Amino acid sequence: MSVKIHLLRNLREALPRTPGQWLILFVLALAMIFYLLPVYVMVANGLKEAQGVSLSTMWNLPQSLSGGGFIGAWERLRPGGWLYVGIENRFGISYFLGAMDHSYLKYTSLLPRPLADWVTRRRRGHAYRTYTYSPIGYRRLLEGAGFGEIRFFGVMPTYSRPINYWPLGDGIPIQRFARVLFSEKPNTLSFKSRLAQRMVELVPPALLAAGAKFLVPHLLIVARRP
Amino acid sequence: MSAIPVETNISTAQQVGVASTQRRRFLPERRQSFLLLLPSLIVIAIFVYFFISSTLYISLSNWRTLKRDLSLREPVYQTYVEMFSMPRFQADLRNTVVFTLLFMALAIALGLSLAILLDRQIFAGAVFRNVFLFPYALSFVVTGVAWRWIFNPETGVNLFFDILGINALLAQLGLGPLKPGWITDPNVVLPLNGLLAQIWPAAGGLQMKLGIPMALIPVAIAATWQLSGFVMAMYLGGMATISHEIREAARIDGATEWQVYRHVIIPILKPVTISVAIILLHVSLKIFDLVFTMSGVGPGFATDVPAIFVFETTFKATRYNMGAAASIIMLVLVGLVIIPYLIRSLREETA
Repeated sequence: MSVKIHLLRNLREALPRTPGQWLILFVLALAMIFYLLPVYVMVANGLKEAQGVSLSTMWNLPQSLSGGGFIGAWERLRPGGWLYVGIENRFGISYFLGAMDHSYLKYTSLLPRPLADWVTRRRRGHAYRTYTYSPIGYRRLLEGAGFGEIRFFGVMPTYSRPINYWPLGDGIPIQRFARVLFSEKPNTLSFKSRLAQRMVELVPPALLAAGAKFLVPHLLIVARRP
Repeated sequence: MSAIPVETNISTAQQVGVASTQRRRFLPERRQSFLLLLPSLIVIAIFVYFFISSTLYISLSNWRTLKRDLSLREPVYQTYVEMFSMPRFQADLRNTVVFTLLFMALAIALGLSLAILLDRQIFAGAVFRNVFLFPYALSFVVTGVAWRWIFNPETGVNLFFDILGINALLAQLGLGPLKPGWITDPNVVLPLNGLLAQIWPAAGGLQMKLGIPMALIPVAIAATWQLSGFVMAMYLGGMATISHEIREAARIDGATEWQVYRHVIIPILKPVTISVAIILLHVSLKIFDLVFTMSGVGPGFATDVPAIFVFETTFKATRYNMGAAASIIMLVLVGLVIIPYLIRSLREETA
């Protein structure tokens, strides 16, 4: 307590008293703006994803891309037109089991973007360009681009071969698919796949339904331009 | 910065010189000290003086392509004649002079003002000091890119003239909007060609406009931003050594605060000013990375500097002799600054 009072007293003594001293403080603050301006530009643009860096947005703070590439799709659609997207889930269960994303590296999609970028630059010699998101992220991007009536589906086996699909939030299909998938070649399954099989079997369906929303590897998204 | 090791070399050389007058009496010690110095003398002889002389030789040779050709030109100074008649190199020399003057004036004025203000300011002094010194720790390459963006006429700092209402104010006064081209401005203001040609007719042969290239001003501002904090730190260091009695004495004699600085503090800080000037001068004469990343050669070579000329002539155009000749001219320019300073400090030491 006494230390606090002491500090406050010091602060009060240090504060400018005459108008001249206030003027000096003001001039120094102005100079500080001049000195921090390039630092702001460097830091603000240094923290952006490569897509977000451009001269026209150089003064903006880094932010998640609002709309991203979906804005282009929105512009090309008629009002009432439907957008169909097949894409990976950034946090799909396969990535936890060591599947490679488009950078041909394991686990990068799970890392925060700057870290994934750093790893990809070190290991592959180029920037991290796999812009996948979680279902929540896709919803935010689509809403940012102006889409409505956004619906998510889980899809098997991949989004480019949508043989089976089901509304996201329903965990029962994933359980069934897993059983079919694992029972096809039970002897050649790897340790990790067997582990996944055990996990799918053990987890209660309600919990699986909740988790499937976030863990399904491939997504079909349907959205409409109002 | 580099002036300090050079100085110590001189003083050791001096000691050797002193020892040589007492050659007979201290022969073993002299041999010992010579042996101790020998490794560094050999290294300096090879890596400094041999390379300087080989650069000088190349500048006089016929080596104009990738294939090495070390035969001497006819006449030997032909490369220099060609170089000095190039509009680009003439512009480079002009730019070096203009940039040096602008940059030194701005950096010393800003650094000294900040030092005086901080000298009088108690509140948050450490914060201000660190913020002002911070750019000095950054690389010229990084800051060059940031400044290149800031001085982009379309998206950069010009937007602030709109936001702050300066352009609206000018429009009310019936003037056009303030929209400088910054690093893209090819104009050269205050041309002196005509004036110079009247005094010295040979100057009529100059291939470039002798004046202030507008594109150099943002470069000078960026360099000032980076080094004025260093100037401030030097002055603050100097001010810390001035005892309070001197200031008090001046105040008792009736001097105002302004007069204390003008007639007491700044004159006492003259050695600091000289060191700062020398350091800034050699930075500005050798500057390469900031200009290269910020504006390159600029519109109409408006921001070209000798170091960029050396780099492009030697490694892009592979005109080795001309690159070497430009390096020698840069050496001479730096020498013109450093040698008087060294002679001066030597004289002070002996006195």
